[in-house]
Amino acid sequence: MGTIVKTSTRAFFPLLLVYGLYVIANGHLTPGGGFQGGVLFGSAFILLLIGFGYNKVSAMVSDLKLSLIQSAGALTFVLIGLAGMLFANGFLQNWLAHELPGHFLSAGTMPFLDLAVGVNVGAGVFIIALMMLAILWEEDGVD
Amino acid sequence: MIDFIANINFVLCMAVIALGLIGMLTKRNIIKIIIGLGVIDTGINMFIVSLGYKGAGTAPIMTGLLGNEVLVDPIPQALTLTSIVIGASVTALALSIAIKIYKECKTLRTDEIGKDAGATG
Amino acid sequence: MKKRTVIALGSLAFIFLVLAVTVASLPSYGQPVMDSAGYILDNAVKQTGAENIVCSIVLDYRGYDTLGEATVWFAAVMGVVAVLKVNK
Repeated sequence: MGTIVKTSTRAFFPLLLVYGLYVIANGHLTPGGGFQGGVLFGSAFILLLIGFGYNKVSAMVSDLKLSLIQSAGALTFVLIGLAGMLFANGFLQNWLAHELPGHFLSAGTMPFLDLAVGVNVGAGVFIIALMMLAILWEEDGVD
Repeated sequence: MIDFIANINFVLCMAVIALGLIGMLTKRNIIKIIIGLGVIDTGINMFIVSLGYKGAGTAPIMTGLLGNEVLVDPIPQALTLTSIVIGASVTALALSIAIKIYKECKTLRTDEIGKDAGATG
Repeated sequence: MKKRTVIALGSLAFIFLVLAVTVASLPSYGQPVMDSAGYILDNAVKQTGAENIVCSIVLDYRGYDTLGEATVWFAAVMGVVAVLKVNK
């Protein structure tokens, strides 16, 4: 892609990452949550893929590591739920302590469940984009 | 009893669903059929969210409220969150099958796909 | 092609008419009949500590549905990788 697209991609990539993490982390205080912030986080990497070309970006990531990151996010969700069975009454019970409402740690297990779901969804969106563009762009020679 | 003007929101959501169904049934291109599926999903989500409106209510978030406001129903909004993600999953799988069809048959029109199957089948 | 399109559009117009009459006879917009979330709106901030009530429904009162939805998303990504992967 041209110079204008590359320069604005370099400017917008850290902003999108920080905004996605902000929406995930404040999921229990403002509108947002795990799914919305996860899609924003994955869209930052898709912007990198479109701006700098498929060959350069796909040489830096590997499919196996992305699948491991996505599986770790999904497994963390289940492990937090199973820990609820150990420390409280049932599966996915809210077993951490509460503080005054308005802080990050005031809602028990909810911020950590949000983070796990965000990692799951963000990595999944990036894997889908990589797989589709690998087949569509292999014969055009698009850089 | 039948009041089209007071329930205009519900009638317009049904119009969006009907338009998506028309698009799915009369188009020949595979990508346009998948777009029709997405329009049906959007219409259904809009209908579910607008079932929970209450008078002159505000969003069900307790940060910075004045204390004497009516809050809308939050349960349909939680159900719609799940429905949006499922719509995205179905669209991703349908698009991957469309990519495979294009690579095999070199065309995206549904009345030219089955012409030279059987030899490769 | 023309006769098929006419039959399709005619039956769709009939279906849309039936749906519009049904939906216009619902309880009017803005005044629902049931108060299904009264308990949750009153007790959510004390019981969970979160101020976003939709998030506390999705992750605390109905967290099991979120587990099922994360599984559906994971299965969709697995399906895309299985269909489109090229082994060289």
